[in-house]
Amino acid sequence: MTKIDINNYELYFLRYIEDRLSAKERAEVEAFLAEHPELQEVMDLYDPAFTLTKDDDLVFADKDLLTHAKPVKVLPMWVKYSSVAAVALLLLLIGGLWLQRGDAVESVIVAKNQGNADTILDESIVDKPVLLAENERKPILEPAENIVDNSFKANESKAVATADETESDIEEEDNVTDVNNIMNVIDDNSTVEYYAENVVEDTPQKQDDETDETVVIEIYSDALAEIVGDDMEEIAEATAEKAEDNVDDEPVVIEEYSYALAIYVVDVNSDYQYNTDRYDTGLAEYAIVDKREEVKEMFAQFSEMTSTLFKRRKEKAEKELMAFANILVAEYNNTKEKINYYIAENVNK
Amino acid sequence: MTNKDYNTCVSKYSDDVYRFVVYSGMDRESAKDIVQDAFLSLWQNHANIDFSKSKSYLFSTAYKLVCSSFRHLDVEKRYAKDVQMNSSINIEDSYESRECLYAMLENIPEVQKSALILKDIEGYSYKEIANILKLSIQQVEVYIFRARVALKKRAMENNLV
Repeated sequence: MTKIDINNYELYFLRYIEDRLSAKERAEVEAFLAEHPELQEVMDLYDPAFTLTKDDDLVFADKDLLTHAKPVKVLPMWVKYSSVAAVALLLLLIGGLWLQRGDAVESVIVAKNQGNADTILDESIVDKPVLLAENERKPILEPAENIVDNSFKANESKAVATADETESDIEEEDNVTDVNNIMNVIDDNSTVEYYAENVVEDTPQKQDDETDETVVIEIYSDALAEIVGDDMEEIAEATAEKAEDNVDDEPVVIEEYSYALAIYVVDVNSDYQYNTDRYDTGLAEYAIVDKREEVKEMFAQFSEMTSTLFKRRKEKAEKELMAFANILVAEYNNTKEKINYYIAENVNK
Repeated sequence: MTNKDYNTCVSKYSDDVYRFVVYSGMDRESAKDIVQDAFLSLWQNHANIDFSKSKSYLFSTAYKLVCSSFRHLDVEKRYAKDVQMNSSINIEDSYESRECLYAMLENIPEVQKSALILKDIEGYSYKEIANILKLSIQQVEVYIFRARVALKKRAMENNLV
């Protein structure tokens, strides 16, 4: 150990006071103080009795939020696979949305109405060679039977209108009984008109509150899809527990999202519901068309926050996402109003 | 460390970590966040952390988070807080008043404060504190010496002793 000097005297003072020095070292400290009497004050200021004491009333009250959940259980296969299928679909949906950046593009709108063999096709669009290059744009939606068939094949290719498709290819799909609207939005007017002319009248309508709920559920489901990659089993387990037991546990956001996903999975496997959903999805997509970056950022934040697995953070995430979802729902309602107005003004005349 | 060990850490150490963060000068809401983040870090690494080292890991993580939070604090805000504190200490609070003592801690450098808290509140040895704060033992000793001297000096300046 080095000798006491002007650069290390504090260390020696402490050890001196705590009686951790040899007799020789103590003598050296005393000699040093004799040389530097002004430092005696510093020595005197160190009062071992001047200590901090524990405040036992100051406790972390939310221990239950820190305790980690039980280990993941093995799931029934149907739960796993239906969730995987749903997530794949949802990822496709949201991926398709984000692929559509704000630059001006031509839209491809192909629609068929349930129970109506007439293909409803925008002639002006068909005349132009603007069907999608496969690696550029993918339709947001796919036929109901594809979803049902592929619900156990998470990575099956989706129905994509490629550049190779012709009008006859499209006409072959006339026999498909469900609404097959593949929509890429160009601008407000064309979309509104399209919906007004081709979809709205023949699409089964739901009550307003139901459609709103569906939109929210779909948004949540998309958000879930964003985070689901890392926690698939855990989420699927939560879904299974929620679906099977219908237990009203303390609300855990991730389970709620899973439950929403479960509802969505059931919904898309029903033709009627599927048609309605697709109508709503289309509107929801339209509603967020100008907000893709915001949505992306929101989902990223949501994903980050929910990954903490802590309730307080999740609640915060849920609040923010819910607020954003409300904005989208408002946009959605606004769009619906525009469509209804267009119908009233043009179609019904 | 197993899941069960982790949950034991929560019940045994969360109060201590929370107190450490609050004494370090964080407001209680931010302190809760830091405790959560510290435990999240423990959870994420629990497979590689020995249970016997979990408490020091938590303190070490909390200390880093506190330092990081302070770095992000607006300088003016902290300055305003200091001014307010200087004026409010000149009151009739008793020397024993814990709140007052901790208020005086505010102006002590973070590393000195943390070392002192770990020593006085948690009863850690100099060596253990050195390990938690990633310092040498001599540094810890000097910081604790300085912190206690500063604390006494401030108490005297404010007629609290």
